[in-house]
Amino acid sequence: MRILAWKVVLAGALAAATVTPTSFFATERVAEAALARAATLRHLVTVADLVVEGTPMENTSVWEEIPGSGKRIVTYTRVEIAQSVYGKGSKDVWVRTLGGVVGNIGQRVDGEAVLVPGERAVLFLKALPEGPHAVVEMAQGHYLVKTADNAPRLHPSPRVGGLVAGEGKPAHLVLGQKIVPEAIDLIRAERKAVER
Amino acid sequence: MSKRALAVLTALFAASLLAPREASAFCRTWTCNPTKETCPPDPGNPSCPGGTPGTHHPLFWPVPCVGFALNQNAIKSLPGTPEQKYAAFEKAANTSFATWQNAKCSNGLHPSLAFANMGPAACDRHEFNSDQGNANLIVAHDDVWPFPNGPNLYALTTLTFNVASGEIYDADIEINGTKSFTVGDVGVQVDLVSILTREAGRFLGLNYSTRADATMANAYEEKTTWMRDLTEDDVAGICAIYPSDRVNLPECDPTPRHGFSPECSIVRTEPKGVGGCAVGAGPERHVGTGGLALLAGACALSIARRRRRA
Repeated sequence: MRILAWKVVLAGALAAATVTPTSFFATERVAEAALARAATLRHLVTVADLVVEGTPMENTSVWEEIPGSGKRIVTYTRVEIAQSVYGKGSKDVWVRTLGGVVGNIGQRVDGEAVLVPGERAVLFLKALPEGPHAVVEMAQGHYLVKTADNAPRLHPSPRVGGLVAGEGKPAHLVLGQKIVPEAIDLIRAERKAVER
Repeated sequence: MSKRALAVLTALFAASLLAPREASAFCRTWTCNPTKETCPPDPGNPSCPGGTPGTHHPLFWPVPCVGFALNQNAIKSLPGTPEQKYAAFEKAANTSFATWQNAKCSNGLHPSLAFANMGPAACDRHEFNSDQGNANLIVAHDDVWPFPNGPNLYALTTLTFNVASGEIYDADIEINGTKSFTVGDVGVQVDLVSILTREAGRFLGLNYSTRADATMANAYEEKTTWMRDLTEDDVAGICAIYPSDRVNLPECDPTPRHGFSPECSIVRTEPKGVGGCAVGAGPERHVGTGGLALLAGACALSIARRRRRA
């Protein structure tokens, strides 16, 4: 009986550690938050003029004037393109994200995509009037590609912001966990539908 | 009671002791920069991104009171005359910050951070100046949301901080004024008080909550107002950052860093020695030719613009 009791205690403790309010909601989608409406795949492909699968490489942060917003720290990241899903992509593309560190000063913008060097991703990008690209709907247009059981799958960015319930199925529910070729087919099909 | 039932009860009791309390669902914002370094989970809540204690720091205001200012143009989508729009904007902002200020910590006292409304500001953009006045600004971009890649965003908050200490220098909340904001209890569209309460939490150094019903959760439901009210998790968060018994605080002075300026700076400046076209020491090693060309171009453009302005 004593052994049984401790087994039950241990099982209960493990269950509690696994399914507490903290860990239960700590999915990959839950993270830093700006308040945004959840983007559908239709919305992402409507706004994005370039979608790529690639790997963030080097990056650098600078102070820069954003027209209409003000002077802020931005981070430029060179993304090496493995394949262009649609849009004009060459070998690489420079992506500008808000926030970063310059010297001893840091800036953090909630909900922005954070492109970590070496973390392969599918990125929905929009060319900015200033030249570089930005991630569509910030972290919502950033999907990590993680391989498990020899299958590379899409995972929504861990920094997707707060999502206001919108109309239509959110893109992260459509693309999340899909293997890359399947996800790319979905993205291309949706883009074609928009272009028609 | 059977021995088996007793064992189950014992297990449940032990589980309740071992389980993290709901109060630990809040996440703080840390100085750690994941694009440059590995950021381990927050030791206070392993579900949250964090940093290495001693090397990285959670963000906080090192003062007992903080001032904020509202752009004088308020938000176009609010009803009424310009004066009524501003009054509604101001009331919503005051209410949102007061909600945090009046939270009741577990000892029955309030957090050790108060807020002061510094009044209307002409400045209509985010900025942080190292040698001129500043404002912790709440501003709506009405005609054009300056982030064309993010038309679905309702608001975003930018925190400027000292990387070495976690001390917050400046916080600005930008609202997407092209959306339909409301402030009342009926006919709610996008509830401004909810949005500002949520963003005020960010302003204070909270990141998000893993509890779905918390104000700092990641799910605001349009046409609802529930986010106006803090849950015990939100309260635990604010009280953890600003405990009521914080010591060695200076006198209350809500003046922003380098003085209060309701106007935008004429020539915007960055902290000396690190701004302008300087490239941080770390990234410089990795910037390829393309990156340097891009940065050089950006610098040249920036200098040309400054000259035109001058």
